[in-house]
Amino acid sequence: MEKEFVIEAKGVTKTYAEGEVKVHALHPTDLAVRRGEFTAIAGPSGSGKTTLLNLVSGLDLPTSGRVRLAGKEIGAMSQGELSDFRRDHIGLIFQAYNLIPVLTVGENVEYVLLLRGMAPGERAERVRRVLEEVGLGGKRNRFPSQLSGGQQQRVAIARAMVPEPDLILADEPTANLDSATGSALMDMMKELNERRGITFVFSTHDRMIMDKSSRLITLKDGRVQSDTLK
Amino acid sequence: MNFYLKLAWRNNLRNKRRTGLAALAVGLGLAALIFTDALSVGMLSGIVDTATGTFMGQAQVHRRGFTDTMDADLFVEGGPALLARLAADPLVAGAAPRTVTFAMIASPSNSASVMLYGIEPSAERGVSRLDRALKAGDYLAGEPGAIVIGAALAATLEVELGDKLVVTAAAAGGGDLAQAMFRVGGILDTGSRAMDSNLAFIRLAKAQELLNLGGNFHEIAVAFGNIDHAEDASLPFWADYGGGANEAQGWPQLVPELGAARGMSAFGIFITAVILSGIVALGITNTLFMSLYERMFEFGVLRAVGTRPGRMALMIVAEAAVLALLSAAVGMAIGWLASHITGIYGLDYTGVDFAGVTILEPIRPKFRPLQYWLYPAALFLFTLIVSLYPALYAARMNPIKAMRKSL
Repeated sequence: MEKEFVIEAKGVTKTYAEGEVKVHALHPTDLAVRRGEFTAIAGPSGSGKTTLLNLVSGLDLPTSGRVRLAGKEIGAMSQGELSDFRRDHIGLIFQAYNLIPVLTVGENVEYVLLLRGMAPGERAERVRRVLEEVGLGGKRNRFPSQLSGGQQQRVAIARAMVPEPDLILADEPTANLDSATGSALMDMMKELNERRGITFVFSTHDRMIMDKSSRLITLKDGRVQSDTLK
Repeated sequence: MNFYLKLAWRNNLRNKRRTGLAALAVGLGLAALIFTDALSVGMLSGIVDTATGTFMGQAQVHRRGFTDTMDADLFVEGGPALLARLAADPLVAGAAPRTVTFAMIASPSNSASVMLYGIEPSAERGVSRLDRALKAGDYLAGEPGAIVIGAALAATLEVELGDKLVVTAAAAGGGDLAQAMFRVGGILDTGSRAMDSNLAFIRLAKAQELLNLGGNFHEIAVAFGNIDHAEDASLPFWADYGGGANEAQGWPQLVPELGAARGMSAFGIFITAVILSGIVALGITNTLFMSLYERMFEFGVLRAVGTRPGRMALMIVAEAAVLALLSAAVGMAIGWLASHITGIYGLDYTGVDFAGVTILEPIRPKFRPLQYWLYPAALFLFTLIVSLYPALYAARMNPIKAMRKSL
């Protein structure tokens, strides 16, 4: 039986107005990602991969076209509803980790659960379990500044995973890491994908990520160039 | 909520110097307000104490119309009985009967018009501090024909202790002129030139005899156990003693200039509060915006991971609340210290006239509870209101723009 779609984007475009000039960041594009996929979207700078991920994460709305995430149309959602939707369905991993520096590792991970109004006991248990999973069980009370880059990105992965989202979107997650650390992190995410069935979509230039992904979509000048299942 | 307060506390500690300076700036504003209020209350309280304690009393009972006409026939109706009731009243600490009349006083060298009071020295001690102002002689303790005058009047009349003076005044019951000779028994230096040059005091019995008053008198000066009673119009005291032909008045009615001065002082404090509020508003807004711009990326991330706009606003308001609490603590500490130190040394404006009263004691700031709850609470609430602007800014922030480099 075929798995359901987590992302269904049909004919989405994005045009930015810079003064009187209109910049077409994304030409009409279709994208469908099934639950459990491990997909990389690759392309040079300015190819539209960031724009595409902004649209499928609900951080931005398309100029035209439709986006369905986890079976829900996001075009008609208010800002508050979009916030709730991202909180409940999407995990985000950023290139520069983007942890909150005044929160401990545990608090950074716990924050999303707090937004959901989860009970303190359940939050603590979920955070403990996820930190164990990413190999940071003993660093719960450290602050981000006390961790290495690789460890900070693990915290970011834990933060993205902890609400058990339908989809994790990662923007150049290895760009700030050395190749060994980046490769280890990718192995960890791949293992999470295979073991827990979490859907990952990466935006990347990194050949290593492209190699480890099970599907590779390439973009150029705002258009899909290729879409390859491996 | 605990989480947001913890986050707010840590964010405030993130840039300790900036938070410290902001708390100091806002705290100084609060301290200035506390100190201004304490000084103003202290000054007015001192002036009221001087005005009422030196001689006037905190309240007075007269025959209706007497204070306008000074007619010798308008003595307090049922005066002796009223005086006995006042002496037994639990609210009243002291009551002194007085005759009051305009008089001409003459020495061999000069003459002057004065306000002549007939007083009972023992009763006066419960109401006024006239005896403490005695510079020479005694306080009507010697011969019945003694007169006590101020130093300035003595200088005008060119008299000393023991010298003779002739007093002429209009008597009751027809207004015939009455005259009597007195010897200077005491010389006062109250510190108030107006009192020292215009008042003269003789024994009550002698005055009643001179003015043909029998056992009557024109005024009962009253001191309360608590001076605040003099301003409490709701007390039955005023109707009890001011009914019928008599009227009872507290110091605010007797010296309306002081009431006006207090109103001006309250207005001054209000203006000070408005100016300081402006400083607080700018200080808090500036600090919050600096902090917000510095952490724009973080706010973008928080929005991206699912923080609702309302919660973003709550974070900023919580930060402002923490800053306000720090500022209030700093402000109260500085305000208390400034008031305490000024209270030790006092501000010496003795001899200066204010609202018709001569300042006789150094001005000392006076504590009142609202300085340490109302003003800090107002600062706290005002800070929360002011923080709504940056809070709304944060709430409306576009996560992509905030992060600049977004997904």
